[in-house]
Amino acid sequence: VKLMMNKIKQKRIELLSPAGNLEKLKTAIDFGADAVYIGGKEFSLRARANNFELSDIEEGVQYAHAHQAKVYVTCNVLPHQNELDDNKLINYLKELERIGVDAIIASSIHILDTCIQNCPKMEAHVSTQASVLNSLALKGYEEMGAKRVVLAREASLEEIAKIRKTTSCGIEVFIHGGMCSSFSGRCMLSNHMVNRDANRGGCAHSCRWNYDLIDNSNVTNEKINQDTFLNIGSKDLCAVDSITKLIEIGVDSLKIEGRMKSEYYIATIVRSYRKLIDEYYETHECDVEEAREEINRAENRLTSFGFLNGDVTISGQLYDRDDHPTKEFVGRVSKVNHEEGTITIIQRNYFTIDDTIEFFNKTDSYLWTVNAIYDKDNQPLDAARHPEQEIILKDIDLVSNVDVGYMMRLIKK
Amino acid sequence: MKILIELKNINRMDDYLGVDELILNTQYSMSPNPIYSKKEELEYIYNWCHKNNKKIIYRIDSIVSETNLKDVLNFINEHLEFNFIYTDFAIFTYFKTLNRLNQLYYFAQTYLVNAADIEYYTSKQVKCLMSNELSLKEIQLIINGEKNNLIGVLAYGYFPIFYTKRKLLTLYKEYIEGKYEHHLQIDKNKVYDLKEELREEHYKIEELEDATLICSCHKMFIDKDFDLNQLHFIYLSNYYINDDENKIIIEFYENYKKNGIQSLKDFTEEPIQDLFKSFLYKVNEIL
Repeated sequence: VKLMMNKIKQKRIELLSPAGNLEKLKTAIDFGADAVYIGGKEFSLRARANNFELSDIEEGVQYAHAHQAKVYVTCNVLPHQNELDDNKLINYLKELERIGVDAIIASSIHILDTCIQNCPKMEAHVSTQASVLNSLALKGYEEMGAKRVVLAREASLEEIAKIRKTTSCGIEVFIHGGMCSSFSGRCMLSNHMVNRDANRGGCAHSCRWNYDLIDNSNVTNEKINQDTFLNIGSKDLCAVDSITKLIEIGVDSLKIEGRMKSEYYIATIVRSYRKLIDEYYETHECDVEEAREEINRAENRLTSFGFLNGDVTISGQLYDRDDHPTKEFVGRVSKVNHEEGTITIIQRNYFTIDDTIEFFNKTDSYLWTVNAIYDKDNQPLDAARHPEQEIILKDIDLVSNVDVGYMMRLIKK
Repeated sequence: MKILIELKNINRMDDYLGVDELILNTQYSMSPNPIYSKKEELEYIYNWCHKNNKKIIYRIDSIVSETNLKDVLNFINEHLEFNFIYTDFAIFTYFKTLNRLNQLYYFAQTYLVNAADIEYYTSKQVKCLMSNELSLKEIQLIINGEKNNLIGVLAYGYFPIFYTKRKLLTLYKEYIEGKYEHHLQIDKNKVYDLKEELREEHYKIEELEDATLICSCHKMFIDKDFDLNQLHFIYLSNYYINDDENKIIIEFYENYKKNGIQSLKDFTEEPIQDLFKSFLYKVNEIL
């Protein structure tokens, strides 16, 4: 066990980011992800995440591999009988293997087995949908040929450490993002209430709706909740406090949730965790408060530490809501013209003259106060109002301090 | 076709004469029914089953945490002469090691929706309960596509649609009492109704020892519109029904087994409330 643990700990932990499209994939890698997971058009949940065509996957793999990063493709749908064509499945998996995809992530035992039997160059990872919470289940999947298991989000740090000691199979742990209130894959609320099957990508987030709790043991059917609705939803997960521990346990991969999230969210979250992980390897100390502050600027939902410290408490439940998305993300640099001293940005949220904006990439940031705003025809504007509008900013210092791909966020109005 | 149902009242054992295999609830299951674990209770049940030629299945279908794993395996070892209903892959792995996979029933709840996934298990002699949210057309397609004929369906009753490790009712009680400073009467192991603010349906919600279950708002039932006799087994859920209804449905499906397709409505004098064909004729919207 000691030898195995030493070997595991010699490997640097992987930071795994979601990517809903090619642009987000590049953003995740540019901002520090070691690997990304994406959904193809076939056999993938998150049906609305602009899933990748095979050609996009190929481009994504080339980009990732050129930057020493990996690409995992989710095949985590549970296909119904009329949706499962074995020839189609095998061809699809073989095509992913040919393209150079590093692994698939699946929960269907048939999809996992088909990948293991037919695609020797591509790993099979067991999805969190399989609800693995113990070492024996992990051993079973390992014996089957799976190279990694994404643990269920209900595992505590103590349990993860125990599991780690029993196996050399890869272990992936969620560290950030949305959490199902139920065991993943075991919720049919959305299916029953609005005919949308979460296990086929249709989750309507029914756990976040408002409920009455009724005592039906007497004829009056008394409503118990008088002051407020019963909420059964979960806060998002944020594991900044546990990164050191997870690295020391010897977990292989730290996973961020959210293929539907914006590129700004991905950039900010990936950058924050990248910094924490790098700090750990350099100094064995992490500036958790700085990371938390940074992460809070990208958050649009309340967070808790989920089950990492044991059973969920009140602070893990979504009772006092604050679902208002942040408007901090104002744009991204798309072009830099050193000769003319201008930069072009794609606007995402409102900003105006005299606002202070932070431009940042994976490692650097630059503060700048907006002096003037122009549209693409060089006409002056009093504010940047329209999402996706091309905006031109002029300043010699700005041009020399930022580059294409820098994110912009509002610091002060 | 075998009939499986959970024992919910030890004082009415003779109601279960029409059953082939009797399910016993355990502390490792996700069922709201009573757990019989006292020595004298178990002896009585074992003797009754032996006398009446009924097999016993222990239900251990919770998702097993690393903390509980050892206890669950100990429980299995102490009851190895019986069959088991499971859901966690660890149980499958353990029985594979023991070369006793034919003692298992896989109650996957949401996971078994196609013949290929089912066949992975049935080819190893594990009996499988199909997921509940399937249409009759899909059930037939799976039966046609699966070679080992070791599959079953839920033929009757309320069934879980949400399973969480969170103690949802206790947490809510703590939250309200902390924030509004007044007592909230919510009890563990008691069923409540859960109603979404804009909808009329009442779903059953109950907090068990280590989990919270939400069950369907209606009792699903399959009767005259499908030939259940082509299946290896049917499972009857007796969650949240009274003993008389429990008795009637056992009698109905025993009659169905012996005499072929029957109508539940024609069989009972008193209409049974809250029945619904649920997903049996539904087609899911795929986004």
